[in-house]
Amino acid sequence: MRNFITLLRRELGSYFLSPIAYIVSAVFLMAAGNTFLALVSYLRSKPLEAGIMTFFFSTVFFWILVILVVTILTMRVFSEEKKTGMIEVLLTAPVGDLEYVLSKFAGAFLFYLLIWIPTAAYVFILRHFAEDITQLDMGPIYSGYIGVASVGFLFTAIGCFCSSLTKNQIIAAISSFAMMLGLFLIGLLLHTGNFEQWQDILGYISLPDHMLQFSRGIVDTRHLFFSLSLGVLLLFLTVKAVESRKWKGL
Amino acid sequence: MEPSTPSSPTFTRSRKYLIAINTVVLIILIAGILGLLNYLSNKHFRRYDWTSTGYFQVSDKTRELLTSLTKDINIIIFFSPEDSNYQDVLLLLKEYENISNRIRVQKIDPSTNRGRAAELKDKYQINDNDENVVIFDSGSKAKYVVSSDIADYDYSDSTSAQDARRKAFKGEEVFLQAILNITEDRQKNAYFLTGHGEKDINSSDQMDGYSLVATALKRENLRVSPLNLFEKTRIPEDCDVLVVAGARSRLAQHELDEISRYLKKGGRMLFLCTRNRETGIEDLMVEWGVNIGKDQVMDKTLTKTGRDLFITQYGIHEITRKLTTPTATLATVYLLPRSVYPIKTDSADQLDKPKVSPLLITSPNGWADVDGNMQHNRGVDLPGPIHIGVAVEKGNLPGVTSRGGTRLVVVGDADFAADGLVHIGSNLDFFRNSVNWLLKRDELIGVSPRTLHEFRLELTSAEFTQLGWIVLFAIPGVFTGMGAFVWWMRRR
Repeated sequence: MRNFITLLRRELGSYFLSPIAYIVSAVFLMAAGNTFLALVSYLRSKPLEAGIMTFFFSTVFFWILVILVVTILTMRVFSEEKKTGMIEVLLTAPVGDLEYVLSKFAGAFLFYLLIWIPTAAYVFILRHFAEDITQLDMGPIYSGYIGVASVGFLFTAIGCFCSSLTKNQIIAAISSFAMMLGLFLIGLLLHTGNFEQWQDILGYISLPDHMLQFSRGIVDTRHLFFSLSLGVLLLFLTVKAVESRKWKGL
Repeated sequence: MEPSTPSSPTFTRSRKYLIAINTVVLIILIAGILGLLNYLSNKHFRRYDWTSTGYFQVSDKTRELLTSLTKDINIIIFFSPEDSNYQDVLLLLKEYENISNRIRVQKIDPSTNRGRAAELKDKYQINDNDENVVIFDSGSKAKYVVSSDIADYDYSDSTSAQDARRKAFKGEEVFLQAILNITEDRQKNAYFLTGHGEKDINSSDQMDGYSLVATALKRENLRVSPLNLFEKTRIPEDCDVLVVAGARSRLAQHELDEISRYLKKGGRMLFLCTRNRETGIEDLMVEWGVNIGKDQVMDKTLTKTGRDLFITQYGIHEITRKLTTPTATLATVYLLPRSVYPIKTDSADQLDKPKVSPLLITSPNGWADVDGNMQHNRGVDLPGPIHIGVAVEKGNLPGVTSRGGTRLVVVGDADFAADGLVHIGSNLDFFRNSVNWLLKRDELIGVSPRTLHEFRLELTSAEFTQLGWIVLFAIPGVFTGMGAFVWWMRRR
């Protein structure tokens, strides 16, 4: 456990020391800010009857933004060390593979959550300018953030997994971007109405659908469980991939 | 095959294979376990509604209905995603799916799925004008509801019908009606009396046509037929509601006797009177505690042409419950109706008498013109407020168990539901609610709509610009600044 904490601190530290992490955060917050301004200007002229948070998650643009952010945050997580050979040093240290992987994952996931924190300012702004403060329903906002966290958990796991498979950061980035995008797009298929027989399954795995419900105030344990369990599976695979370096003979 | 050298204590090829297989098996196992866990999670899940209004709660009535379904119901959301009701409809029906596995929900987008769209329009005979609909199909029966029926709108701010803001979402009650309709065993029958100049269900004449209400009733899965009682002499056994709308001449004695007999046996009747005409039924109504005035009711303060009468006050009754919502009171319009009010009785013999409840009440400025000179003469004419519509109910009669007791709705005017007036105000709703109450479909009335909380912002242009700076530059700027700082630090 102590190793885990140490590694985690080191991991977070490396994020805070990396200019790229800041640039990514800045770009993300700018884009989120832009969407927020669009929401504000809409609300000035017409009231919105329901689902304020859905404004953010109903656009493909925003999803791609989130996918990009997570991809960039996770692309160097395992690849870099593979490249610099640091991994051998680490692997020979008395650190378990599991602890190692989890600390990397936790570092990336925590940073992802950190980036979202400034968006809480938007909530305060809404409350400040609201014509009738009682009408801002906080429930969907909380559940919306839970959705953001659960999707982030899954995406970060994807990013870590892809990163653990290759030395090359670019390849890691491309493959994890593709995987996240793929998962997202499968969910979109649900809305085209072409795959009627698959609708049950598609509904279960459709991330856009989950997010829609989270942002309207519905917290469904199935949505949470799906993201968590798939994330856990991917983390398990990541551990296996890291282990495999031992006997692959790097 | 390389021989393993004794000096390398690490991994031989065969050992590698073993580990590989071991790993693959382990992966499959874990994946399998997770798949199983997900399956279980799908069976035993919890869904929480964090909205402060309980927006997605499903009422007990609906829950009861859904869990007691004996047939599978296929629901098709035939909507374009831009419709303002789309999300709410989708999420509500998802809840239904969760409650009962006899419910299956599909989504079809009419604009992207033209082939399927055309099929559906054909199969369910959807009007071309009806754009976004939700189709309910139980296999043997089907019904569709239109998007505009699913919400209450506020037109005050908007320039077009599209812009209208939703005030309340009525999805639950509308869907409840629809599901009930298609799962009912027997199609119910409404008979419209003919032969005395009544309104004609096959005509679309503005004043004498009742084709629109007939269509509305058919949409509720009622069979609508004319009834010539003079010839037939008996009211059919399968009559679930008798409608006498705007009769202009006196009924024959045997017709009146038959109607009286029908009512005493737990019959249901909607009686819409005609000004200046006596049909004989008015006298019959006295037995049931209703007095129909030989007059015409007017209200200078709630009228447009002097002949029409707006009603905005309703008695407390299931039929009119929905006409007085928290957000507005809906108006119904009548043409010079007759007064219809309960006959006062001694409280002593109350139990045996029919229960008469006023439904439609004029404002205090309304008055009944008894002498017909269109002028209020004190002493002759009656001052307001005047009742122009009542509902009558007499409890379960011994020996008549299948129908329940007798129910009557008497309104002093039949023109309000004619094709020319029925779409004004809430006339159609009132007609429909009356019929539904008469058919004793209690379940349809009373599920409350969800009021929508409107969220609006107030800020000046200056504030907006300031906001823009903060949100687009200041906040991200902090991060850029930190990044620059870090980069500079690392260079040193």
